[in-house]
Amino acid sequence: MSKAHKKTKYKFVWLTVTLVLIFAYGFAFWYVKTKIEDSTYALSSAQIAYEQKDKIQAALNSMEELQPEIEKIDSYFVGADNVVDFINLLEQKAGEQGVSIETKDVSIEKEVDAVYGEVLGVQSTVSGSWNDVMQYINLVENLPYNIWISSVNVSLEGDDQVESEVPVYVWEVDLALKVLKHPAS
Amino acid sequence: MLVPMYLLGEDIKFAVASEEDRLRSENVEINTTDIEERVYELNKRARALSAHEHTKVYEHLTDVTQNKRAGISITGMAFDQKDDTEVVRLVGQAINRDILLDFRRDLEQKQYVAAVDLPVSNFAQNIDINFSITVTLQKDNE
Repeated sequence: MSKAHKKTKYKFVWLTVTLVLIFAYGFAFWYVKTKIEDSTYALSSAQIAYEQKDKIQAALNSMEELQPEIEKIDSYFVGADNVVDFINLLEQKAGEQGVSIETKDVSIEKEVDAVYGEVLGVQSTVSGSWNDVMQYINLVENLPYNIWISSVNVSLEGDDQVESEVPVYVWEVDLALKVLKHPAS
Repeated sequence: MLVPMYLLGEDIKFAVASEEDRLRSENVEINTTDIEERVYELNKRARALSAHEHTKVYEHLTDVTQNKRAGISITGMAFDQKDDTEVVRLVGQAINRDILLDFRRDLEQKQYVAAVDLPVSNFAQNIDINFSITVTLQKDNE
């Protein structure tokens, strides 16, 4: 082998080794860069997770603070198993107001567009003096429930004049009221 | 130089990923059980409550009867709520036509009244008129 040929061969080997090293270094650089990018991404994800945790914790704390208001909202509905208690309450209030009451009908209505719960309907007939029946209506309308009157029919029944010289007119009220109720469980 | 950088990056990634997994697993548990459901339920209840307003039957009936003119006597009243409309029907007796007309005007001037319907047939008699009036209430009578 001639000396010139040998030199050319060394040059070729040296060039090949140099190229391989350059490529290897390039690959290693790319690989490490990718790993660092992955670490950065993981770090920002962890930061987001931390922030989420803080927000969730804040929301949980707010929920705890709002608990009395939540219970208050619930109290505006008649309890799922408290229909009888509610009717008793209406009759008890009538007694306290000095009017006679007869509960005629109790029903559960499911409103078509209702988002929550049921509507409890109660129909009754109340009799008494004008002031007493009106005060009873006032009392019922202001019970601490989501309650509303769907119909009232007030008519003069006659007078209660038995032994008194001054006639006391007796009014009869057909009362239909509705109240929101928690759904049956 | 690359080797220490690689090892450092790999170490950070591993530590951060394990911490993130732990946080996420905690969050998922809280999200589904405690917050979303409770807020959803609360919203439903609040919407149900706001869908119905308290009626003011006592307020309207007593106002009509207490502030009526002398010469008008009321013998019957009815209140009906249907399709977001509240109507009060009054039945009674007026001593003459002028008093009955004045009573209608009084009703029309009330803030919570939207319309008053007094059919002309009520004026057939001149005195001791048995009347029937339909009063439609305003929707938002604050």
